[in-house]
Amino acid sequence: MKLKELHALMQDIAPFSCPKVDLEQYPTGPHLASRLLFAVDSSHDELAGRTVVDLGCGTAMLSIGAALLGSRHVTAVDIDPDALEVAADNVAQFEDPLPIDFILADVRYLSHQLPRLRADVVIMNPPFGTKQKGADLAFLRSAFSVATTAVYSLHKSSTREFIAKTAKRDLGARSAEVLAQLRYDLPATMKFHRQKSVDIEVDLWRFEVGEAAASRRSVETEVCSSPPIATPPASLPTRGSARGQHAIRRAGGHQHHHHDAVRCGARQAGRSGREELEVESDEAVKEGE
Amino acid sequence: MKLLTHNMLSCHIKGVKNGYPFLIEVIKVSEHEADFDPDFLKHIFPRINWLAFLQGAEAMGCREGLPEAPTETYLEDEQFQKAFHHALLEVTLEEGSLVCPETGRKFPVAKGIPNMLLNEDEC
Repeated sequence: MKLKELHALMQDIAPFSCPKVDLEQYPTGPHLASRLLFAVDSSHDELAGRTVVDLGCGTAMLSIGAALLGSRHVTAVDIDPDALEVAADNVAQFEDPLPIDFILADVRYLSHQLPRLRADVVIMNPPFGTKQKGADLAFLRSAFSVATTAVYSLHKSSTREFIAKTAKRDLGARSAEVLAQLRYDLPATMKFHRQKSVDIEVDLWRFEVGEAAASRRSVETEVCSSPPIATPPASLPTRGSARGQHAIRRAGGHQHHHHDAVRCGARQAGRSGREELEVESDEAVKEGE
Repeated sequence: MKLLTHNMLSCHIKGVKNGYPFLIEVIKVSEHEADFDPDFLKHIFPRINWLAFLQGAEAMGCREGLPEAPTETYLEDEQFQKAFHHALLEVTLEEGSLVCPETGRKFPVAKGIPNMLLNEDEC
């Protein structure tokens, strides 16, 4: 499949109806996702005919892309039931049924709570750990407990050295390689130029799972604390209103980004990295239209 | 939730020793066609816990054509491939529960999605 075709197929995947700051629900657009998946597919051909787990799947953008590229079974895991509802709707939009199963679970404690979960490949766009310190590493640790071959993950470029060291030394990665540097909703660039804003430049990593990681799976124990999930405020859109938005989106292009940003504004105390991302992606959309 | 996923889920609430496999309580099952790929079946077969799979297939009503203890040679047989493919990838539990075999704790499955979140006192 060509990148253009994949991008077109993923064009109508709905974003979060109202992103939750605590969970760092960055809007992963079809642009970024299709490029990411295409990079994965063309560099190592590890999706077709294989099983995939998508950790912190959100609206299932990556899961859908993996299924479109020929994964035989995708297990998409997220802690947010609202996101999974949007995700399930997104999957249902495809005429040919996609082989995607969802699980509502806490990704951070997966190796302890669902230790049998396995897939050839893990793909994920984890929280960057800016709101919950260490969430990015907790996701990475879980990914290594699930994957039997490779982990593909996005991390802030500013953490590159740290990620490489942690993956090899603590998680037993056989190799750790940056496949591409991407900007949110901007085309991937293979050039590693100095970045102006660390919030929006991310690395697409490929980690090869080593044997050390596999053997540690059986002995690993983790302390489980109660997940600090934000209770959705009463104003959170219900399924019905999310659908309504969808209709607006279909009719009026990408206005929903703005709409959501305004409506969710009250809950975004202070300027977060995510807000900048949103501004960035809005501009990108405008340029594109 | 398909049986491939069921095969990889287990109950790990505090103190549980044998939380696998989950018993399946069926309220509603659906069927959707999936791409038939014998190579994939060969690839995934060694990873499947067959007893858990059979038990799940029994509960989901797709046990037919699945032998008690198949070996790798079965994977060359088209009848077996079809039955395995169907039960593994085409039958979905839409509504029901996953029940821990040790404690009876129920994890609800709604709109096809099992809720595996644990309460604070369970972990």
